Amino acid sequence: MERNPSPTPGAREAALRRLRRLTAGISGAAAGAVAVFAFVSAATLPGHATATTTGTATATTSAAQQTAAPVVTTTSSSTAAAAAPHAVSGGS
Amino acid sequence: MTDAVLWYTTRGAGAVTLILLSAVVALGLLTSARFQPAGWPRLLTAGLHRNLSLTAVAFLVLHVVTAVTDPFTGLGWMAAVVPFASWYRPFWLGLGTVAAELAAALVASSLLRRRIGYRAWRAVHWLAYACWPVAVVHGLGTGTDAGAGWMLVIELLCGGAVAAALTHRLMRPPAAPSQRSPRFGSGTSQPAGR
Repeated sequence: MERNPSPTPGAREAALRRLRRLTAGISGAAAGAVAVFAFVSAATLPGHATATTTGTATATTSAAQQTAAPVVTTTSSSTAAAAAPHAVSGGS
Repeated sequence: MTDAVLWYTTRGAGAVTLILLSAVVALGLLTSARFQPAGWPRLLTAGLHRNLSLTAVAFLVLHVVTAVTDPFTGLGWMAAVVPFASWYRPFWLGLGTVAAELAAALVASSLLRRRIGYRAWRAVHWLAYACWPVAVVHGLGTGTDAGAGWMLVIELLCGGAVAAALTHRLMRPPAAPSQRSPRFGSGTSQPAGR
C-alpha cells in the first residue's frame, strides 16, 4: 500500500536540482512580496504620514513617548483639519 | 523617510513570514503524512520543508529587526527578547516574541538533530503546533494591517492551507517507527540542496 521506493541516483539528483530551483524561486518571490506588501500597506494604512502645509509647524513624536498609538502628528494650522494626520497603531 | 521604510518593511515582512510559516507547517504535516503524489518525490517535500523553515526564519529576523530598530515605534530590543515586556500592546506583542522563540528552538533543535537524537528532536518539534497559531494570533491582535482586506485574504489562505494539510495528516495513520528513521533528505543537520 505504502509507496516507499528508494530513489535512484539520477532521480535523487533531479529532485535536488528541483529543490534548489524551488527554494531559490520561493526565496526570491518572498523578498519581492515584502516589497509588494510594504507598498500595499503603505497605500492602505500610511501610518507614518506627516501632514505638512505651507506655513505650518509639524512635529512628529516618537512612539516611545506615547501611551497609545505610536503615530502622532500634530499640525498647528488653520488647515489642520483638512490635513488630518493618520493615527495608526501597531507594532507588527 | 528611513523610518517609514522600516515601518512598511516590518509590516511587509510580517505578512511574508506568516505565509512562509504556514507553508512550513503545511509541508511538515504533509511530510509526516508521507505525502507523495506522482512526480513529486517525498524527499522534495521534506527538503522544501527544511529550506523554507530557514527562509521563514530569515524573514522573521527581518520582521523583528526592522520593528525594533525603527525609532518611530520605539519598541526596544527588550520587547523582542522578553515576552510581554513591551510597553505597547504587551500581550499581543508578547505572543509574537513567544512565537519567535519557539521558532528559534525548532530551528536550533533541527540543526542539532544528529547530536540531540531523534526522540528529543521530535519532542521539541511538537512546539511547531503551538508556534503557528501563536504567531497567527499575534498578527491578528497587534498587526496594523490585520483588518485590511488584503491581509484577511492572506490569513484565510494560510489558515486554509494548514487546515487542509492537517486534515490530510489526520486522515492517515502515523508512520511506524521504522518508517520514521531518517533516510535521504530527512536529516536536518544542513539545508538540503547543498
